[in-house]
Amino acid sequence: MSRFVKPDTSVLTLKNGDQLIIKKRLNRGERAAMFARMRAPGAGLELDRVRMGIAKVVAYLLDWVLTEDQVPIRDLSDDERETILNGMDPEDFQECWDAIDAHELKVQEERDAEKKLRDGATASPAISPSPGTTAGAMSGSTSSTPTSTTSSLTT
Amino acid sequence: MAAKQGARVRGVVGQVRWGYYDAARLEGYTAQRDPKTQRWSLRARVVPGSANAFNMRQRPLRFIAPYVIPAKAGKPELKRQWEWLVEDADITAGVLTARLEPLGSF
Repeated sequence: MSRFVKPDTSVLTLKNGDQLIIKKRLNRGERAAMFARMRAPGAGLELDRVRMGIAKVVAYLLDWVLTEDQVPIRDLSDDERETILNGMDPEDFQECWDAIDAHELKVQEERDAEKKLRDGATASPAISPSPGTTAGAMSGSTSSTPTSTTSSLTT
Repeated sequence: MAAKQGARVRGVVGQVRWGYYDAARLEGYTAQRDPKTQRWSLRARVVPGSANAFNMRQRPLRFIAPYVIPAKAGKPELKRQWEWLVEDADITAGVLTARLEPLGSF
């Protein structure tokens, strides 16, 4: 499991068939930018609840396919996308926000499950066995650097 | 058998991308196909400060060269882009050189 976020995309289909092309996951920088956008200007670290939705949609949304409108947003800056999103019907915007929220939750759950599986599968003893307990301990001088792993971790 | 031909695409604005992330923005590029080997290569000036070293090391990277088909006979202007897969990219002294594999026009 990589510690870095790959630029994978997901497609969310809304009720009327419109599609949102979004980032599958945000990386650290994108998440920080999202939280920064959630803050009201001059409000310190406090998040502005009114800005939470717009900040999340701006952070995730890359492009869209709208059946009724021709409004290109691909490759626009975050500020430009926010301006366009602010022109949406509030209920339609809410649908986008809800879809992205549900996606974010689903991806987080998948990742948590993957982490659990990984941590369970690769659990290793906190302390390495002492040389005296190692099967087949060598006599004479021993190397201080282990050159291979033992198979004792497999059960 | 058709004769092998070279080709050259020159432009002002281009970019190298890793997925939807910018890896570098370009401000003047030449992509050319060698008439003998038929391999494409790229030479471009990198916009100062625009290259992301981490993203440049990722794969696959794409070189994107946007172009415009002007409005004509009542048809609206069309924005399209050529795309190549980037191989062996290197940035030295603000100049990007790379081998390219054509992906097509989108």
